[in-house]
Amino acid sequence: MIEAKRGGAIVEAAASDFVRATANRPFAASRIVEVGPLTIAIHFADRDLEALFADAFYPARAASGASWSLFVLAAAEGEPLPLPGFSQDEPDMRLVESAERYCLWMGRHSPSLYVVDRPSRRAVCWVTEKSAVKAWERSRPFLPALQAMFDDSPWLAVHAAALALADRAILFAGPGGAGKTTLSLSGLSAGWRFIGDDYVLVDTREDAPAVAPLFATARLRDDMVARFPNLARARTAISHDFDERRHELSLRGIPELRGGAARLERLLFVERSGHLAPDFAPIRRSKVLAAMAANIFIATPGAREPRLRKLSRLLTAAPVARFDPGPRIEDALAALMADLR
Amino acid sequence: MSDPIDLVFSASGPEVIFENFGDEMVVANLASGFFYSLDGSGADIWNALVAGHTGRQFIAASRADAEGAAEIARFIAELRSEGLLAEAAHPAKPDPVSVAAFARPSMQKFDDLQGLLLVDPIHEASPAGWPFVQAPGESHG
Repeated sequence: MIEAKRGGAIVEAAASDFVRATANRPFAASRIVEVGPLTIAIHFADRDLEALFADAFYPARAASGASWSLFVLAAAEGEPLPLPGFSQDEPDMRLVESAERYCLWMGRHSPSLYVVDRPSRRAVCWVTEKSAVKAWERSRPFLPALQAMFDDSPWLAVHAAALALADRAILFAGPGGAGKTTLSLSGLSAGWRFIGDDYVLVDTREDAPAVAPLFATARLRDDMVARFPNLARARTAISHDFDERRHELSLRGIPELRGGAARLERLLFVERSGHLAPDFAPIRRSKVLAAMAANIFIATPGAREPRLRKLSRLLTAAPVARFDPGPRIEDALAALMADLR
Repeated sequence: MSDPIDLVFSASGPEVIFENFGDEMVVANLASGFFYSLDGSGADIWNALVAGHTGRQFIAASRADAEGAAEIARFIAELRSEGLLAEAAHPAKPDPVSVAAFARPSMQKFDDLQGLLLVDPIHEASPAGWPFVQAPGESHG
């Protein structure tokens, strides 16, 4: 155990040195962005990295200083990972975490290293190969590091879409393909406030649950494009992850489409069960908890217990129901609007 | 060997966490990846056990009949076999057990996480202290 602790301490010391040294090197571009309650200064080592990731975030509205700094850099060819025991040859994820630091090598799924140094409120994303960054990563960059930045707060990043009317929000959880993106972008087109279609932030305080945008992105399948002509100007690229053609959208340059934080009124687990009209039904919180926790644990490894407790708090704070949108999205939005009233 | 309903238990470790949603008790085993929803008197039994009471104390407080007592014993055995409870060294709490009307206890098991945890990173955090590297031969938490 003594040797084991020493091993972790060595990684931590190296991580601290690495973050400090990174912060002192020159960066080609900087953006001040807003991620829920945080204002983050993102510094890019080169313009390619800025082009890859910067459009995924909303610019900060307030002129006040950033609460965190995130440094994004790419490895030189053959450059080893800067932490002892971490190797680019390691196919699996590797995590060392403490109250002070979070170090994650994502492995073959997404070869990036994240180091979050909480005492200095600095983080580093170290990309091993810019050309290997997938479109889905560009649509939600640095997610594990952002989640780690929120670990000492009531906020939690969850795999869900969200819409709001005025300042009252509905969160849509559920499996992929259930219709979360269609619902949220249809809502946006119909005048709802769009908070997110894939990952959003939730404030899990029981007395004031809220939901806020995490990223300024959305992704449309080819078959959905005709439905949303108003979003054509938001398109930044067409991607082909997993042989599926997707239209990548960035809403950062369209201020009128930006939805801020809103009070969470309802958590709906979107699940199609063949209803011919929109249908609300009771659902066990345990089912929702298990499904949402599964995604949190795999997409943002680490701190399982506190993150699960936050998620549990959220499910206590907000009414939960199963929602089948039915075949007509207009009817689904009307039913949601009636539900909020 | 003691009758299991006379044993004192606790949640089997820090990887077992539980949450009472009012109408539903959820127990999660983060080591195995299974989530459980406890129904009927299951939540009351769980609360009584992790508060330091025995199954026998619960049976007496719930006024369960012989069939109910057998159901309670079976449910406790199921909690143990799922790795959610471990025997505790301390004696049973003498204070009264709080129970609602007895209803047949049961559990529903969710395996959403089970497969996913197989691709979990090497997790080097420990409740004994942040952080530590797993010694060779130790199993991953």
